[in-house]
Amino acid sequence: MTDPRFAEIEGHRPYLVRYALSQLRDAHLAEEAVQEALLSALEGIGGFSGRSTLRTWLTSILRFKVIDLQRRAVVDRNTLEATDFAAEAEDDGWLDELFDSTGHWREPPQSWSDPESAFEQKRFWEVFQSCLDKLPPAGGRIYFKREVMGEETEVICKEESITPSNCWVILHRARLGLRTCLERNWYGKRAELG
Amino acid sequence: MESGPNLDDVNCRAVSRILSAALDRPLTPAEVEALRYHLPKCVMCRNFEGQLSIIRQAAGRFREGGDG
Repeated sequence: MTDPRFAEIEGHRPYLVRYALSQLRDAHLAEEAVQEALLSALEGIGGFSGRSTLRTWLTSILRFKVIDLQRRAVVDRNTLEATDFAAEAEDDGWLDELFDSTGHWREPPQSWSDPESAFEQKRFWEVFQSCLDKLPPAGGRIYFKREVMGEETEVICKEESITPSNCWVILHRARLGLRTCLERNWYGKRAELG
Repeated sequence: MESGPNLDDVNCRAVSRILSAALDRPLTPAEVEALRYHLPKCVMCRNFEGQLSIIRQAAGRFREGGDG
């Protein structure tokens, strides 16, 4: 009766919401975009050839919905910048939590063995996503654009109206945050278990 | 005789910043030199470099739906 891929599509919703949030910065708009994209996807599933992954196909549909909403929505970018970038990019104090006064690691990074076997485990991806959620708002959004979507830093700077050096600071912080979180909640736990 | 900044002053905190920047832009000659000096003697920063590569791979998998 129904295409078995319908249920599979729904499984990609959390990722798609994350994508939409990185682009729209507004939870309601993001939900709206994802909802519209999923409806279009259900209607157009016959057109999915399987040449790309299902997620890639869904993301390409969502991208159009996002652009559409961006055109329709009036977003006061200046207000947004004032709230999150100043705090996240200009304060260097957060590094003090990770490095001691002589600049050494407080929690020495471990050697992470066999990433492939981690990638095959569902639990790894749950931890990965919860670690993404713990990043500060601008950091999480910019990290998603840079590392997940693979956008160039210059493009991100323009979109976010920030300087390249602010962008690098925010990415540095996001990567440190993510590695610390993964080490504590994935690699560290596994090491304890032997 | 002055010969630029002392490489021994380049600590892990600075190196972590350079290793992250290397993923986003070309490094300056001074930054490259700092890594060449620091990394061979610091296993922690070498581990961090490896972790950066792994989280970048993970992010790419995440885009493709490899987390399903």
